[in-house]
Amino acid sequence: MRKSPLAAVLLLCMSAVLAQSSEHVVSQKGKAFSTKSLKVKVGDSVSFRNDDPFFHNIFSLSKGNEFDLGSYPQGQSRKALFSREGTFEVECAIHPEMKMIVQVEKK
Amino acid sequence: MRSLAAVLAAAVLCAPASAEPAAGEKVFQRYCVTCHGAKADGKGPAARLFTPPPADLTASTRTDQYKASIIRAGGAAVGRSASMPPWGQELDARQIDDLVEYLRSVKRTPL
Repeated sequence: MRKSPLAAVLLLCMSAVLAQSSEHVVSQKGKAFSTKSLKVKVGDSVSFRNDDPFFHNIFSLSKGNEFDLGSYPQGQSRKALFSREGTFEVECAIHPEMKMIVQVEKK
Repeated sequence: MRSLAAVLAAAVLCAPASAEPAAGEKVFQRYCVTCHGAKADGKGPAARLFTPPPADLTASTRTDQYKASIIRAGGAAVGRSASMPPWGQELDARQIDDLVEYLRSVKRTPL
């Protein structure tokens, strides 16, 4: 049976949708993350939104997913991509008590 | 005579206390060590994330006023690395003074 070009395009589109990554949002408010832990899939990103009237910062020193998103004021967000499986601690350099865990699972 | 003593006592009580390096060290150990390291030599655990690396504060030739400015307003505000956050909303003036005093105490003396 010969596949039509339209069917091939549809198949490609469906695969693309299935493979699509998600974006999660974590708020920083009252010098705390809106959640202590978050489960995501490999390839997902997490957007950290500053809902406090002062600066926050985001960084991780966890092996395999080290990053620094810098410091930013109220209303701004910074996004981190999690491309590896594992458990990663995310912190705020300005408020050392602010810590959360991002658990990245296989897709 | 009694009123003079009262005025003097009030003046002593109201005078701004001088900065305390020991208090500044506590601030440093809580907020700064991640990047600048426990010895203030720029070798904190997060230092590897940054280019340029965090400053070696034991070798700084900057004035106290400059240090207070960069702590308060952050690196970007004084034309330095934006990785240095602005601390002015987290630390009060007294804490910043104490911190600057502590940094003065960790400065290496040239040989």
